[in-house]
Amino acid sequence: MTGLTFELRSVPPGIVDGSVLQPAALAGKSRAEIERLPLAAWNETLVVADLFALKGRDAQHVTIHGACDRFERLGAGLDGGTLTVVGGVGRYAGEGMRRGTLIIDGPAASHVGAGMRGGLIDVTGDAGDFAGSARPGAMAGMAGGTLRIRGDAGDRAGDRMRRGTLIVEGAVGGWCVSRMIAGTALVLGAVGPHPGHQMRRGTLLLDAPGCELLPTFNPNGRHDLLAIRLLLDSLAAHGPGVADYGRRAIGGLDRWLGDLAAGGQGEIFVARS
Amino acid sequence: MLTRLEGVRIIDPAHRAGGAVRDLYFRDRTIVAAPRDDEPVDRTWDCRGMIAMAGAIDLHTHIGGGKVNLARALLPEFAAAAPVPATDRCAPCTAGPAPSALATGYRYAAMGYTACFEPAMLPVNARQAHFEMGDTPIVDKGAYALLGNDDFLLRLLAGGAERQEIADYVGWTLHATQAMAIKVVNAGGISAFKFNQRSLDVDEAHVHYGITPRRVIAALARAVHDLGVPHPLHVHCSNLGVPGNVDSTLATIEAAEGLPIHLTHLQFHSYGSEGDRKFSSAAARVAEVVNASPHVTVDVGQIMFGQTVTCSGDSMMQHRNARHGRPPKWIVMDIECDAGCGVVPFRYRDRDFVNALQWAIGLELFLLVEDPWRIFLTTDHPNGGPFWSYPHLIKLLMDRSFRNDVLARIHPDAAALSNLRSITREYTLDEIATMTRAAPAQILGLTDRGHLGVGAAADIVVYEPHPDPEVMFAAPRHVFKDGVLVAERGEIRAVTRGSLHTVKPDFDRGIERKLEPWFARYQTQSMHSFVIGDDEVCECGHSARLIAHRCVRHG
Amino acid sequence: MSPARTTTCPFCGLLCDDLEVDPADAKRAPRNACARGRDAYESLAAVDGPPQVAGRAVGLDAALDAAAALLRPLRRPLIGGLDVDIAGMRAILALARHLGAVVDHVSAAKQRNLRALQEFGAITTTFSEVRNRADLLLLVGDGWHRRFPRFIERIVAVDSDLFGPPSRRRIVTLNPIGRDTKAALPQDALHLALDVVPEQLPVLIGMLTAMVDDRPVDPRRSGAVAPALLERCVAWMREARYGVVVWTAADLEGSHAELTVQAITRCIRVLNGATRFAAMPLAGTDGDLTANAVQTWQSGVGLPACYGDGRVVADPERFASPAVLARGEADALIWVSSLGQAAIPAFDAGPTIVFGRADRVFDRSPDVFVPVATPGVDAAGHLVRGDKVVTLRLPAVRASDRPSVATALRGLLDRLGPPC
Repeated sequence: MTGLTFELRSVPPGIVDGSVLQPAALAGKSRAEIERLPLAAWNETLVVADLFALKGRDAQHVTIHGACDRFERLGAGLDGGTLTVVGGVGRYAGEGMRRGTLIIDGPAASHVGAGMRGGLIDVTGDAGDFAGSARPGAMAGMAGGTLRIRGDAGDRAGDRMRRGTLIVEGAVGGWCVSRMIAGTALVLGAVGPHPGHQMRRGTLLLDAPGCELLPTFNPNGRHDLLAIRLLLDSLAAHGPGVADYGRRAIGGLDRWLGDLAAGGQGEIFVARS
Repeated sequence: MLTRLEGVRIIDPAHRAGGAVRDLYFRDRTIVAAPRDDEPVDRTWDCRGMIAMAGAIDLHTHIGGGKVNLARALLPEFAAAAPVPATDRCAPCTAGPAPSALATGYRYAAMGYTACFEPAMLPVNARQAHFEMGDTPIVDKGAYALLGNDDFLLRLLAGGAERQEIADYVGWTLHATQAMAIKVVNAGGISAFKFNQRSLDVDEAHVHYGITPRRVIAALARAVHDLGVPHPLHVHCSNLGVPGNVDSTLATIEAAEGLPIHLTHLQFHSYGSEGDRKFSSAAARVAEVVNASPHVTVDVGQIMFGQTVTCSGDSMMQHRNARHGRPPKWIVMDIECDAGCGVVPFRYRDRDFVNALQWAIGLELFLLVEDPWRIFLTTDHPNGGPFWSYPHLIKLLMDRSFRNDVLARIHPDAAALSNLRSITREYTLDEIATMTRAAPAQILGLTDRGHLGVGAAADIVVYEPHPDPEVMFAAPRHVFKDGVLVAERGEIRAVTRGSLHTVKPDFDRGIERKLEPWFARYQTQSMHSFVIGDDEVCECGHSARLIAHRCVRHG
Repeated sequence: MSPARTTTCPFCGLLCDDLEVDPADAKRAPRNACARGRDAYESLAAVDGPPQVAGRAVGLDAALDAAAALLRPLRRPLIGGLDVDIAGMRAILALARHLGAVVDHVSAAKQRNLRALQEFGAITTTFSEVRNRADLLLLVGDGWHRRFPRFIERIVAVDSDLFGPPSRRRIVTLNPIGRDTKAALPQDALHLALDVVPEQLPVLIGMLTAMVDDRPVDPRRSGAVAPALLERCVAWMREARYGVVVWTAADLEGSHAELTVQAITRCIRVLNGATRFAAMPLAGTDGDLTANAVQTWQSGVGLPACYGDGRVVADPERFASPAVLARGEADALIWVSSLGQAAIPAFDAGPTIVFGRADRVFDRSPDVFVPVATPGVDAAGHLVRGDKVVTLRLPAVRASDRPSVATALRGLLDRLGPPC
């Protein structure tokens, strides 16, 4: 059975909530039923057939083709199966997802993986601000699963992150893992100003030798910790960049403890060149 | 227009009408006697087999004012998860732990409540409270002005002011803020916290003024009594939430020196400090004293399991208790040499020992205080839980086996420490009607509310009897507010504007000769700016009707 | 001569209520007004134009008819501005519900305080507490003087004897301030100038927090300020009986300034473990607190928000008016503004309808312009003061034919159909 495919035919006039376009919401529905599913917009409700042409059947493997930057919450709450978006996505893709795989073949707007609890999000392009963070006003960001961004991420990646793993293969903007509560973030590219600002616990691994850390992080020497080795081993499958970082970490990483303005139980590891 | 509710069973404790079946009539907004035979009835509702009660009255519910709006602002994630969509009558809004004013009015009315009283209006924040109450549709409103932590009063007391002068100041405050009663919160403690004092027991001296909470309570109870304000001094005791606070609660009762006093959210003040965890129920001790003290009325402040938010004037205790809050974000404010506030979200869990015992203590109080005319049904909304959990709470009171089922699910150590299982009492419908209608009307001085006698306002709720009281009370068949059908089976049928209740005590305006320079010298607004006039307060309520209750001066 | 009538100035969040109207000439700016207030009073007194449709003068009814005709077929209006009084905001929300509109206040700055409050909390205080109680003030930036011209005069440079003989206040300025700003500080206060460049403010706040919390940080690493000054500041913070940190959200430049607000709040939380400390986030100008308060109590959620499809949804990013306009989502722009003069964004995707101050000047005439009364000048109104707690009634100082925002919008709603 071929996967269910949505081909974007017309760009909506404004932002649309696309969370219905995912396995659990589509399973067991006929094509006609799917075509009538509502897509909430500003002051009107569109239906799927207004914007998409459908192909295929298998709702466990859903693919969306098209530049979907006006669709928000694609894959939000995903609880199994696979959703692939070939193009790009709007804000809050994969928000609160629990299981399954969300592949974003293209760029993601802000808040990708906000509050996600499990599963895998794989962004092949760049991500906007607040990757793996939370909605404004909510307390805890990403709380499980893996969020992999192969391009760059914007500001505040991993903000309020509570559990899980964030991997950014490119560069990150400012305030990376601000207010981190726990969890692990690995950044292979350059890092913007103020990494770890107000982080309380958790681990940030950087590959940015000589990067400037806040004075409320104290140097703690060079360490080759078994826990970090095991962690990096477990992540090595996420591509050669991660595997290479793991190999270089064997010689030890410079460790900094902070943010002492927020209790100071977080750690930042920095690889030497 | 003359309306007949035909063949309805009347539950009207104020008239000892416990179950008579008859026709009930109202003309326009007032209940009337049966008309002469030749007088045409404009509308008849077939209410045979149904039950009529007066509209319910919540005498302690945080529905408006700065701290409630802060609580709304603090928790956007919960509001977003609790949308209230528009209907053809109602505007869209949300009902998170601190619901919007619109949702508050709709839900109270749909549940058969026709009057709600905001118990903690800061005098400097009174305008905002009146605006928020003014945007709360359908139900009548009123507010109690907070005194007892304001520097003006504390200075008067420290300076040994005459009883008359204190009464004049209290009277002026009621007048200037368009209030219905006076409340004191943690007497002196909110002020003491601004001086970095972290607790203040009833007989402990305020670090700056040297006076004790006992003095403050005695003086205010006396002033309220002297002015003849119908509602006695409404007291939030010292040491809220602290294990062992039963002693300060009993000392507070004493402090009133035999004058009428209302103790609010008594559950939070009935804690012992026994047992391994140094936390135990003192409900039986408190209930015994309340039963023996006819001048005392109480409301419970029952906690309900789930997410809520506590908003209180008690900045001292809210700061102290903030570390227990969930989610971990909270607000504390020091306010204008007048009062303070604290907003702390709480998630009460039935498997948490302390929360479970709090739940049991509240129910023990309900069941051990004997006189339903002196104990009122509240969750201290939203502090113990939302007001829309009242039908569930009523079921807990009316159905012992249901209560015991819930008791079996809570933290076992808490269940074992409570004597709840051994209490066999089940509230009757008549007692529920007393504690939610007749008694609050009486204690507030609302002579034409809370009963179904001729001349009463046509605030009438018609219920379809149901074996499950939670079902019956959640969505009454008809709700009439001032004679207008406002809700049916939980759906809003008409959105009206309720009235505003205030009191108009006599006091010597000469007090303004002291107040005017006080404002000029120490406040950041003039006395003239502070006072809210009758026209202005009606404007806050979209031309609401102002019902000013008379005060009969004693002393 | 009749005695001077006092009034309350609507032109910044201080809402000074000690202004005296000249009984002989109500068009003159009231006495005690600051320069900012004087300019606004005088500018408003100098004009008296009628409503306009496409630049042509018309009567109020004709203007409202035209606005209603333009709006009736549209589905996605954006209501911006929102610098109005409480009654005006109530009317705006009624209109928004009717139209399914997005509503957003012209000033995004206060969002920084709100975000920090929602994600961490707040410990704040109010004007009279600062005036009578504060023995230490930490002043961020200089907006407390530039944006709130009488803040020092009315709140800080007052020797209060409420709690005993007045003592010399200690004042720390965290960032560089201009000479005239410095001159405004009370002369007898002890002044410590840290002069940290604004970009280094998060670093400074972090160092101060770690130091008052006894964490093992090295003051020499801060880079932003000399260790001795840092240590003096920390000592003052610990010695304070009632310390207050003052900032104006608009002064915190750059994105993510809400993190700095949170960092300040965290520092204040730590200090309250031992002494008393509170924040004074100055706001209230252009009705920002007023608009958000009314929206919050009526709907339970804040601004910006969307009333489309019979729901209300708040989203500070999606419904921020610049974002909505940039996406080309709105099909009408309704600008409602009775207090300030902020520029109306350029809009070509549909009609622009302006309910604005009478002295507003346009580069390009909007489709409809209804001059409205300014609360506290030519109509009475209510505004929330900059410390959030006090709401004041602003009486009118002179008679005017201009409708209030509430009156004008009610007229529009009547024409659109029954309000919901």
